Amino acid sequence: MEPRSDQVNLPLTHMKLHKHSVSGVALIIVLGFLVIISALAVAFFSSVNTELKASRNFAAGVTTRQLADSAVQIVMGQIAAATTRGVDSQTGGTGQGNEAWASQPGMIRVYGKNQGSGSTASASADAFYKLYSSNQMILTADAGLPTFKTGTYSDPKGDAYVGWDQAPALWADLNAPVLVRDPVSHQPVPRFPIIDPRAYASTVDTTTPWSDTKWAGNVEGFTYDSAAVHGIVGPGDPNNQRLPMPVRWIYVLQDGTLTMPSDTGTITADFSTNTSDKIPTSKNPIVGRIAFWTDDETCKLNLNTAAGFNADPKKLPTLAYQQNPSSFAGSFWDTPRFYTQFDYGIPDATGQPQSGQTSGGLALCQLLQNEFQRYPGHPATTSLAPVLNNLLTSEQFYAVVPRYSNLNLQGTPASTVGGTQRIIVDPVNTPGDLDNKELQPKQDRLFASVDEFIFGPHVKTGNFASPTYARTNVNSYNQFAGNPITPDVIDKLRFFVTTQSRAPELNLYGQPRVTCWPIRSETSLETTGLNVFDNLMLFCSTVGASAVSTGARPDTKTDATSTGVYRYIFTRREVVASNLSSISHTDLLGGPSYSQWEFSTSYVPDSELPSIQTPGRNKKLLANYLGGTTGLLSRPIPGVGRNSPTRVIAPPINRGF
Amino acid sequence: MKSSPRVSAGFTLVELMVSTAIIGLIMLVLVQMTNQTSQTWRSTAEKIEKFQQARDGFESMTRRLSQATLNTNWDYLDASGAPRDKNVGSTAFVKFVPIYYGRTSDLRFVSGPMKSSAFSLDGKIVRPGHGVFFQAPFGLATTTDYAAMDNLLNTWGYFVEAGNDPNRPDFVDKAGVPARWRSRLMEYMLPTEQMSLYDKADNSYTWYTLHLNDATNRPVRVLAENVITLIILPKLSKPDEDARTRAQTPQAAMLSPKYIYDSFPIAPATLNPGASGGTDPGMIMPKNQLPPILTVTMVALDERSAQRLADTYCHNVEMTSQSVHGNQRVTGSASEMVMGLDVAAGKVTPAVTYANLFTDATRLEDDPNTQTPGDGDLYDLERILVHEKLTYRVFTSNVSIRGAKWSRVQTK
Repeated sequence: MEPRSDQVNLPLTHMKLHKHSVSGVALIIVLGFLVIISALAVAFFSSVNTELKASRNFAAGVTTRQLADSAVQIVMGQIAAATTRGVDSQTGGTGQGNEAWASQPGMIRVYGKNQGSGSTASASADAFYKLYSSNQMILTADAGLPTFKTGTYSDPKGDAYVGWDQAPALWADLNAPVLVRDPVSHQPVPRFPIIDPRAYASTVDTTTPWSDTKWAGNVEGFTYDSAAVHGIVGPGDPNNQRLPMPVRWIYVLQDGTLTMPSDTGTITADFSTNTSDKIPTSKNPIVGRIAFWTDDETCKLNLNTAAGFNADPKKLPTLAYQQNPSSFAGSFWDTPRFYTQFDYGIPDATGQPQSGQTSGGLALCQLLQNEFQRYPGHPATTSLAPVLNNLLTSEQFYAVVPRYSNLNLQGTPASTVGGTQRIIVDPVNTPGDLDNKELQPKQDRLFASVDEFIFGPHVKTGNFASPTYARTNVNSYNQFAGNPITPDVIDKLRFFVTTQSRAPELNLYGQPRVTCWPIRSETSLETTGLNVFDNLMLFCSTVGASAVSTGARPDTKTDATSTGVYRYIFTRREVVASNLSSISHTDLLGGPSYSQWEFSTSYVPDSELPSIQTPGRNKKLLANYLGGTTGLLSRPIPGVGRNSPTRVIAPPINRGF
Repeated sequence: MKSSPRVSAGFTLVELMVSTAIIGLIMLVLVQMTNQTSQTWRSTAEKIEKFQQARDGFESMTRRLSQATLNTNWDYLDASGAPRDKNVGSTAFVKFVPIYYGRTSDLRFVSGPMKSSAFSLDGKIVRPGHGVFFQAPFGLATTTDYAAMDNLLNTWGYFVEAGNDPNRPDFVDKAGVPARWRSRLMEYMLPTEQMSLYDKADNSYTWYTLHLNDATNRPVRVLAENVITLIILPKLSKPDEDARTRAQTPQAAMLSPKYIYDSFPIAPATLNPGASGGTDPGMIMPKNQLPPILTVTMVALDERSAQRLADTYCHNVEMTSQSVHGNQRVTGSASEMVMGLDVAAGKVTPAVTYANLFTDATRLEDDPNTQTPGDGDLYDLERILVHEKLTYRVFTSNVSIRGAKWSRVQTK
């Protein structure tokens, strides 16, 4: 660019300067805009990002809950399949199957009617329904059962693999403790989610007489083998005791598929050998994994219903009893049948058991009214001793449990003390005995959770006349020396006790039991003449709710399929004059003829009354439910190992009805 | 060669002016856009943030409600349907004659309008909406020994209460800082040691009213601020309710047509129709049963709206809060206890009677007496809130109570 000679130089310089400044402004403006726009964009995106994070957190919470629910669903499915297997599988869902089930923590076993012997007889289980996460949830004779039965700890395919801790991709320890600071000692102590291994202590002192302060820490019969799988630490330092419960991880894919890696991958899950629909892909990735194990409350001691007698020798009344605990009844009563000391006991001149020796017996020390802890078959005969053995005496059990007692209204012991004492209630010579000396059942609140056991009884023992509300007295156990029940102890007992243990009361065929307690029929003259026990029996023997019934007695007149009410109890009518007539008979031995009152010929038994039911419920129970070609009596008994379905003539009770 | 100087000569004045104008325009648009975006963003964020506490509170409440328990069992009952007296040796205990066998429970579940006289609460505090009180294993204890026991039983509850901030330290009140009058969702959490339900002397509602009426040491905490009402509707499951509707009127088919539910009715006939039994076959009998489903509805305001309500309607609070200093209970007028919503209710057309809201369960969503759909109590409440130009949010959830095993088998 050469300047023309006729032009002055000055403007050129000006021009140059001018041009420079203009270009700069444009750049600055453009850059400025860029900055503003990008700031806006960044601000916007960062806000979006926060939102995204918030919603992602929420979604994660939902997903976790869904995963937990899926474990519950699996278990519910397993339980349903196991308990209805006997009903549906065998003969095309007609409810005529022959399989019985039994539950335990973590598993339901199903027993069939197989012929054969040894492990193929029906006395050994047909199928195992696992209630914990495993690579084979159901084991049957044709699928996996043989491996399960012969499974060894060293077999990685089994459910108890000794080296589980080296394969974190496959195994999870459900009983891994959490270390927390003890609220009192401020030392770190382990807390276990399922089972506290400290309930097993090898150092039980059996020689020292029982004292309030000593607890060996042992739950009777609870033990584990330190060498079984890795990680188990047996008795020693209690805070170091460990009891891993390894179960397998089940991996959950995005579309809900549950899958499991093969045993080859230990640190990294290896799905390569799976079928194509069970392999995680980028489109169907793993979204979570679950591991679970299911407890069974029906296998535990129920603090609300059990009581029993503590037969620990150290706690028996005299040295003689301590040395020979087998010569008294303990936690049950039965009719004396034989001439043994156990049956008759040894009375002294006053009729009491002779002192200083084992003289109690079934005949001498008969149970009293309301001494439920000795009622044969009553839940109260179930003894709490296995868990509370070293903590409380029998008498203290009754002070702690909510419904049973060994005290009378004077607050003095009035029970037979497990069949070692004789209680004489004599209203003739001592008026008032019946009112005052009778054993009184408690009406305390039931424990709603195991932890509630710490508060003990609310109706204070001792003088019943002025019971005090005791929950506010923080330690209800201070009535016992040495404060035997502490939160620490309850932690150890938690796996063995429960407060709810409801279980279905079914016979071996999965059907309701028939109650052997005939009640007055609704066609009898006095239909309301049921005592409270009849009512209870009727209530317990009736299946299904009636929308129309309002009273305590189910309306058996409408007892039919249409109302959904089924009664499993027999009814009877009382013998009244209107049903009888005097009928004349000839004496078979040639004597004069005689008359006697008998049912008139027009009398129709309840079971045949068409107006009530066609046929009557009694007849239905007898002819269709118990008898007949499809009745229970003509079906083989599952789980008993009988070779052929021979009909057995036996009282139904022996056959588990 | 000649053109280059012209290029370098740059812009003419007109060009500059035009470009400046364009830049100005763009700037204007951009500023407006920025402004708008930031406003939208702020309002969204606020909406999320300001209801965050309410949402958290609501979630915590519904989760805890689903754990309610009654721990029922079956036991002998006498002719009047009462179990044996707990006081061993008392006349009632000795003279007990078992007649029936029925469902019993030591625990209780109660829900209903907090102003209902049935619950014998301190009349000085009008608590808007409903309350619910129950037992559940939450393991709250005051004794350190029990710190690790997670399943100890507690009496628990939820209700709404208006007043000064109960957590304000003394010196703030003394300094004359104006009271912070708000309506709050309260959580009633009674430590397990103080649970008085089992006390044989505790036969009405003292198991929670005793501690709730305690002037100085209530076991209560604020779960969420600015919650103006809580509505609890116990319901049957859908199939059960449908079966009842076919046989009965819709009202009779409801589990609690007046929102009141008590698992141990002291005055059965007034609380739960049908509870006294007899005439209605297949009647609804809540005795010792948990409701299967609770429809929980909660209405929350944002902080600004709540402040405006307090400024408009709650005036004499400052004076009273001074006098009740140290006392967690703040005495206000009935109108203040509902944040003045009763006054506001009269200003909308057609006017709403605030006291009648949420007392008749058939009207919750829709008034069955009119043709208009969706004109129930909730709609009326929303009309009031809209009229007052308040930002609000309605939370609703159906809580199924896990421990509920609703049974039609009736007991005496």
